[in-house]
Amino acid sequence: MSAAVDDAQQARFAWACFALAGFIFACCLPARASDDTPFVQNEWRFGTRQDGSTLHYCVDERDPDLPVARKIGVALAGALLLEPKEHVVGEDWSGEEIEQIYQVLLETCDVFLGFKLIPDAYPDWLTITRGYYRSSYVFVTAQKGWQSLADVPRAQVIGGTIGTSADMRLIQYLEALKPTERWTHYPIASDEAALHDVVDGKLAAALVWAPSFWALQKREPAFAKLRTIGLRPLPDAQADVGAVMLTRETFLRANLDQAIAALTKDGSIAHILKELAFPATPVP
Amino acid sequence: MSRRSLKSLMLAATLLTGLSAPGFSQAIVNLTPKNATVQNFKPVTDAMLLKPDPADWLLWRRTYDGWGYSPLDQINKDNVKNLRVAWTWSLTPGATETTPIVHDGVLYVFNYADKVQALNAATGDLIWQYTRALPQKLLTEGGQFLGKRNMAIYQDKLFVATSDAHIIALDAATGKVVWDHATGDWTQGWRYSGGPLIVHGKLIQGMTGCGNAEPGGCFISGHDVNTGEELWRVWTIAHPGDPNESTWNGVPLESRFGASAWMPGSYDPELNTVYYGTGQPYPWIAEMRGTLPKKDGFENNALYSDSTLAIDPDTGKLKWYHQYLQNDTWDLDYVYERILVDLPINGETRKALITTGKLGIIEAIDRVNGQWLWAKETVPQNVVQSFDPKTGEKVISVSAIPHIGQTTVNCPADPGSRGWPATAYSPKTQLLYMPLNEFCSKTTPVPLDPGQAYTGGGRAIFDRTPVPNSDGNIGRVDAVRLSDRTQAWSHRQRAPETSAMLPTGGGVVFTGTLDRYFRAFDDTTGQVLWEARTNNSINGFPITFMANGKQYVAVATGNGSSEMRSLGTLTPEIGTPDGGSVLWVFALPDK
Repeated sequence: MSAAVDDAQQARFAWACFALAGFIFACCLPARASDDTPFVQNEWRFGTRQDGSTLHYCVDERDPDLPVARKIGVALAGALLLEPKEHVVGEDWSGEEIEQIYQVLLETCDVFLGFKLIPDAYPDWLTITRGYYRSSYVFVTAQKGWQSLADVPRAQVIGGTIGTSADMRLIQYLEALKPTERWTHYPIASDEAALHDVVDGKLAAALVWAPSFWALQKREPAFAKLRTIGLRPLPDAQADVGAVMLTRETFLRANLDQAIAALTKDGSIAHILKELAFPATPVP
Repeated sequence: MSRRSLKSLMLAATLLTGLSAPGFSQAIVNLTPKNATVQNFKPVTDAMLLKPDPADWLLWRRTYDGWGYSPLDQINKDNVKNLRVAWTWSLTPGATETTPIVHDGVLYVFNYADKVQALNAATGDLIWQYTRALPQKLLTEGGQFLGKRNMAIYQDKLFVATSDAHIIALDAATGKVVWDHATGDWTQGWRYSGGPLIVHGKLIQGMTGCGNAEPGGCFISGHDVNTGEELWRVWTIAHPGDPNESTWNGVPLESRFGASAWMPGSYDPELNTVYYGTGQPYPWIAEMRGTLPKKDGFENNALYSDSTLAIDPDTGKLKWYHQYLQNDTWDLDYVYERILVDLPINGETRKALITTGKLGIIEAIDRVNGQWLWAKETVPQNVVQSFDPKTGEKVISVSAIPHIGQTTVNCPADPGSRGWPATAYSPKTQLLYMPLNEFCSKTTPVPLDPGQAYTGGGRAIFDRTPVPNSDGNIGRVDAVRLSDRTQAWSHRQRAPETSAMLPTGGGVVFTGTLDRYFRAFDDTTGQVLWEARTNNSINGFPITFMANGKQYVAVATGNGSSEMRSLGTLTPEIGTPDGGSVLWVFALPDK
């Protein structure tokens, strides 16, 4: 272990002790929802958690980065000198998910991993930590000769997962072109549906989240023949991923940010990403 | 041991514990009603639905024409000031947008999370109760979709659209389940928030929740009232083979979402036609869903969103449609009540269908063929610049169209200058009574992907603000003369309007507000004749009925409705209790 990492770990230990004391104190503060929070039936039932020495973190079983999130949850708890307690959510979730996120944060976990840092995408009652990894959207195609979107003939149809930040940027780019210079673009319901459309030849290329492609390729043999190509002429479509928590948890937020910084600096996050061959890098 | 048996044992244990606790020996009362059957139940016939007894409230808006009007006049302009609480009944806390049904002295009410109760309409005594065993996931998630706006009654059955996307028939006398038909897969987001309409032996029901990555949009289905069997289905989004399939700008069916049919319809027996409204396409922002910019060779008005669908109730044939808002990119539903009324237009009487979308624009079409007749604006709005005088097609203000990366100002915006609380028409005054709200919004499209599996509908941020030069009043009740489209009166107040309208033969109009006031207006002048402050926001459809020769007025209060909570952001000083859903029943004091 290098001296630089030693120093970083010592510093991490020092503030982690302080963080632990603060976390235990913060857990005892009464919870009070602000008026603009989602309506949760019988919200009074959700009191403060009494086990102040545990970091309860949620992961969504539908997330492509689930293996990464699990390891990062453990690492974060360790950095804060807390016991890790994982809660897997998302099975059969339906409906208005912003309400579910609120309820989960009230009822189950201190922090919910796996959210992109997107400006103005979160309501006031929800805050997001600094990112712990950076990944990107990629174009996926079955064609061997293409190196980037620029190589895809304009007569071809491309798609993007509906409503993603990358697809929104793609739409903006296409609208800036003359109609005759545009690719025909369709919004697709999900990353998985978009990849199936590429396999089936309905789309020449699809813009999907790289971690989704990573996870779906492991699961679906038909996607083995697909490959990524560059975004050019589009700029990079990167996004940092962090964890959300209730905005009122200011102390926890500050300490999680420091913990992420420390885990980044000492190489722990890079190690997790490399171990899983996950298509992402630590956030500098 | 079955789950139900285990529950029973636990209840018994609880009772035993309670009975042995000090001070509880007299407190355990009547957990099971002594008389769990409606005595001498009179089956509801087609004739009754066609011409309901004024004492009853059998349909969502009392009559097939959607008027929401009652001819009862025992409570009138002179004595309404004496109105008192007759009885109250606590409902399950949660979104409470319910419309009770009253038949022959029995009041049936839907509670949040699918509990149905039959109560003595004069006393509030419980007769029977049915609680649906909903999947735990749905109960844990909660949310407003566990509320329902109405049920239906026909013959000896009460019909309920459930939160897990089933339609069930209960024995109206006992509450026992007669049949249970699964229509959609709730785990994929299909759900019901409105209830059924019964038309001569057919049950008609609109589906919602069709934005959760479920392709092909929503539908309206017709069912056999005796079995629940699905007889027909009308898709609210044009599918391949439909003559309007090309209206989605080339977007494949798998990527077309929305057009929820989340409110019940109306029915014209003479034309044997039911009329249903539809909501907007998903996601709300047209650029995100691919219907902007328009592609060569396609239309992009996204049929059959924001339309009236005229449907044959026997066959499910779509007779015609009229679209009010093409390619909606604001979340401005046109899904609400259809009021069927004959009106003088250019010297002749036309069979009109009146509806008002979230824009607050009253629009009349001919209910024989869907031909547009006229429009009347009410609240300030900046989305529609003008109307084509022949077709009613709207010229949209370009500056009001949201674009990715920009913030636009829209008046009104989500949740609309009117939401699900229904307007009503009085044949006595020939006025349309409207619960309205004035506001604007700074609208910013935002991506759907904060969480990686975030698949909810939408999506945009609505930063709601008062209208320019507002005097601070948000809520408003308008009375509009349909014959000449003039305003008869307008009552304005700070608190948003959060309940439907109820005009009566006694010359009073009932409605309620976010700040817990239930009011009676003079139907011709708008003067407030009476008001009562309740426990929570007035958030249901008020009804009136007779029991034992006495007229009652009932309305449900509660919190949890997203429309109410959204409007509440405009008046942050008005606090509302988190819980406390209650059915309030008012009557005049005995002489």
